[in-house]
Order: sequence, then structure tokens, then C-alpha cells
Amino acid sequence: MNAAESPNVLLVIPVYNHGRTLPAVVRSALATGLPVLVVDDGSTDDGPAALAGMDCKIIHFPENKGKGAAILAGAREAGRLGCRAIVTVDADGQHAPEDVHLLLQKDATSSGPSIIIGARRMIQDTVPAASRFGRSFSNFWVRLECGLDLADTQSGLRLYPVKELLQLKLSRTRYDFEIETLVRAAWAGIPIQTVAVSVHYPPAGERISHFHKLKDNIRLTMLHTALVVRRLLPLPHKRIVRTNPSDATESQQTGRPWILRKRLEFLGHSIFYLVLRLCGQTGAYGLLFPVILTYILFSRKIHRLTGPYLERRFPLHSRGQRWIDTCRNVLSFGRILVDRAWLGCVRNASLADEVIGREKIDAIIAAGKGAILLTAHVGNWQTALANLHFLKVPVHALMQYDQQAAARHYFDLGERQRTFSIINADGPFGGMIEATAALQRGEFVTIMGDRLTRGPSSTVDFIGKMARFPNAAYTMAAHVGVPVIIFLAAKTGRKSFQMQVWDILYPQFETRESHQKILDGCSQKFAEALEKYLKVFPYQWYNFFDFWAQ
Amino acid sequence: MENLKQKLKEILIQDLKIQGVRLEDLQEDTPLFNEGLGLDSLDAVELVVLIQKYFNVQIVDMDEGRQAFASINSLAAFIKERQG
Repeated sequence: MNAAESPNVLLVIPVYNHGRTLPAVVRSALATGLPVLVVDDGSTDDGPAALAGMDCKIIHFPENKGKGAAILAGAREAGRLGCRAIVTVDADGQHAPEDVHLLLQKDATSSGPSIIIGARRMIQDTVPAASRFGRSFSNFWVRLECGLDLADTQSGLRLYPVKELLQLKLSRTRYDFEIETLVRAAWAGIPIQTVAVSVHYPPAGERISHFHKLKDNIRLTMLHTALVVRRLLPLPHKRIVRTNPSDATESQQTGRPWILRKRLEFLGHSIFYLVLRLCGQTGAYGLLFPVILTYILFSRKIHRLTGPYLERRFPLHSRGQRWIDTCRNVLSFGRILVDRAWLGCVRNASLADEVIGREKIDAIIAAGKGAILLTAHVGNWQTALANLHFLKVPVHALMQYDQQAAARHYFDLGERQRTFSIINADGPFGGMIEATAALQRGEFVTIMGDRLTRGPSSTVDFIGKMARFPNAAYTMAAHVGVPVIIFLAAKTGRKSFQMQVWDILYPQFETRESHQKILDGCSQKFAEALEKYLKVFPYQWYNFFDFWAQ
Repeated sequence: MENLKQKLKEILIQDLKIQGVRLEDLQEDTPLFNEGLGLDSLDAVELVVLIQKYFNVQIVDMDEGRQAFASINSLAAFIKERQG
């Protein structure tokens, strides 16, 4: 491909005191056949003077403004010239300008405007260790911020669509520009693609880099902090490029009821691992305060999500008290997530557990009977499920796929042994055959009794208003002839939790006609047990949606 | 085999109480679940328990379930095979 086939592309070289490498870079850039624009970002080494007589445009900044400012100036110039895209090449000679064609080829096969990154193959011996680390560190943050797994988020060899780039609201003008651009572009719906390119790192003495270790790293840290906080705010991003409706993105799903949980779970899974490894559980708890406070201050939705429950649990509380209740509710959920991550990624991490009513469970096991452990999204239910080894019989968890993913995550991380197997409730027969077979073998099956996804339900009184609860667990227990143990977990201290038998039900069907009445009765008992639990642990309710409307 | 199928039909009508179908109308090749006889996943629980109770045959997972519950014919074949 030559320039004639892609006349709409301008090659932009931002320059700041790269006098030694610049002429060679510009020469090989011109050899690509593309028009070349050098943006001199206030060089003081007279380097750009050496370009006299070369067939390239030069823009001069009177003073140093930063690489990002230079690239944006190049994009604006390209816009004036009517160019569709720019390709940026670093002036330090690390890119082979002939690789520009790889980017153009990729661009030619894209269906619409997209950013294309030349991902550097870092196999050469002279690649500095700091660059390798910097690259994977930066890739990690970008993944966290926009969910994209990109091979090289720091490469300066890129193709940008001009119109879309200029529409992005960017605040960073230095080395942090390239990261910010990627994340905001991804949020705006601009596709990002990569192609593998070569890289040449000159030996240590000949390297020209103006990356200031302290200042630029502080800038990057501030940028990442801002982007992560923005990412956590449940506000939609302005889309510049409309994507296919079938490509569901998170911003399109914000209407779903348990999005807050998903977001916080994302928090629990990602950011905190780093802090956990460095500062342990205490450090991560400390980090929770500002993050959750910011979240609650800026979120318009949070009170709508916690309100339905808190208004019922504390009907007499004032607005101010309700605000504090919300903080406590969300904070305690954050702590549960921190604990889960902490147990998963830190060796020697452990919580002390206490089982109240254990003798009742032991009696059922001694009788050789199976049982259903009916639990709810309260307390540290996931950690509790992982600590059922005291039961001495195999335990199976009947779960929906998304819960499964979260639980798997927990188990895969730790080296601790899995104490239960997961039965997929999304499979044919809803996992009921596996669950029935397990109960018949005298094993235990755990079921979440509070989240209605599909299937039969009972509408019963719960904290003063009718709510629907799934009742399949009682039907199963009645058919197989096993008890239902209402078993709820609660965090009781920084490093302790309890599991308690709140009630045991023995549903039995006599006539077909009485089924619904029996199921309703069981559901009412479950709702009462939950209500009792919430009197003791009011902030450990984690169904962040209008439970009474489900 | 015919006795076995007859017994299965009785179980379906009397224990599972399939609505609106008479014993003599039950087709031996109709799927038991979904669009067939309209059984659902909770009926699977009951059926698994009943098969265990009457024939001492255990259906342990969805693969066996899919095979056994395809129709009355396949359920009879499954039980026959397991009973040896």
C-alpha cells in the first residue's frame, strides 16, 4: 500500500529534544509515502533545524507542552487538511516507520473508525526491564478501567481517527495522554485494535527518553485513580461511535437491578487485590472508606437501590440517618468483598467461624439423611459456603451461572480445597436431577432462597409488605423427604463470622391441592427467619434492588 | 417391557397428575418434558424419586435424565438396562 491508496492519513511525529534521532526517523517516515508532520514540542536542542530541506511540515510550540498536546495539535492540523486519520510515530527511533503499513492495512479492514495500536514485540535483549514492567502495569490498569485486554497500552505507534479523537474530552497532555485516550475512547465506543510491530531499543547510553520517573509516574497514578473512580460511578458514558446493539456493554446494562453488586464485586475482584497483597485486610478496609464515600456522594442511584430495604427496616429514620444507614450497608458489603479477596489471595488469611445450632445439623447427618441448606444474600454467604467442611458430608451448591462465576473466582484463587461442588441451575432440568440424586445419597445441597429468577414462587409478608420468594426448594425437599435447614451467615467481627441454623422445616405433601398452601407456609417461615436475622444484623442485607418488586 | 411401560404410564398419570391426558391416550414416544407432556424441572425431582422408589433405579445427572426422559419408550429401556 502506498500514499496514493491512503491519502487521508497524516503521519505525525511529536518531538521534544530528539535531535540525534530525529532526521533518521523523519527520513524513513517520508519513505512510507505518507505526508509527514513534525510537531516540535518546544525543543531546546535545535534538533528540528536539521530538518531543513526535507519534505515535511513542522509546527513549533514556543514552549514544552507535552506529548499529548503535540499529538492533538497534529490531529487538528490533519483535520484542517481533511485527513481522516493520523498515525503517530515516536521520535526516539524505537519504531520502524515501515510498520506504519501494518496499521494502515488493519485500518483498511475495519468496518468503521477505530484506534489501532502497534503492539511492540518485547523480545529484544535491550528492552529495559522498567519498560517491560511499566507496560504490564499499565495494561493492568487499562483492563481495570475499560475492560479491554490490550497487548501494549503504552505504545506510541498508533493510528487515530481524527474526527473521533478530537471529540474525546481529554484532560491530560503528557505521557498520561496515551492511556487516557485509550480508556476514554473505549468508553465512547470507539473500537481499539492492535497489530504486532517490531521495536528497537537502542543500548542504554544512546537512549533518549524524557519520561520523568517521579513526575510522570505521579501523573499516571493520578490519572488511573481518576479513571477508576469514574469507572465506578454508575453514570453512562457519552458514546461517540454507536456499537452494534448485540454487543452488550456494561453501560447499556445499568438498568439491571443488581448492577451495584456487580460494580462492587468488580471492585472486590480487581483493585483491592493490589492493596491486599501490599497492606493486607486492614489496608483494604482503609481504602474502602474513601471509595465508598465517593461512590455514595456521586451516585444518583445508590439510595434507590438501598432504600427499599432500609426504609422498611428503619421506617422512622430521618434523611440524614438514612444516608448513614446506606453508608453502613454498602460499607459492610465492601468488607465482605475485601474478606473474600483477602482469603483468596493472601496465604495465612483466615476467619474464625462459629456454627450456632450445629448439633441439629449433626443429628440430621447421623440419621443418614440429606438436607437442603437454604440461605440468602446476607452476611458473608460465599465465604460461609466455602467453610462447610465441618459437615463431613459432600455439599453441593445449586447456582445460577453468574453466581457460579463469582464463586468459582473465589475458589480458583485460593489454594484451599474446594469443599463443595457446583450444580449448574441453568442446565437442562435446572440442575434438579443432580440435586435430587445428591439428597438421596444423604448429601447436602445449598440453595439461595431469596432471589427469584424463574420458577414457582410464594408471596408472603416480609418486614411488613408482601414479597415473592422462590419455593422450589420446599417442593424438592417434600418429594425427596429431606428437611430444609434455614442457614444464614453473618460477619461478626473483623476476622470472625458465624453461621446459624435459624429454623428447620419439614415440608410434606399430602394431597395435590394442598401443595401451594404448604409451600406458602414454608416461604413465610423463611421470610420470618430472615426478618429475625435482620433484626440482629441490619446492615448485612445485600439484595440491592427493590426486593418487594421482584 | 409392556408391563413396565404400563406401570410408567400409571405413575405419570396418578403420581405426577399430568393434566388433561388419559392413560389410554399417552403416546409412548412423546417427550416427557417441555413441549411433550409439559413436565418441568420440579417434576424431574418427583420423577427421579418415583423411579428410585418403584424400580430402585437411580438417575444421577442431566445426561442420564436427557436419555431417560426422552419418552416413555426410552425411560422403559433405561430402567430395563439398569435393572440388568
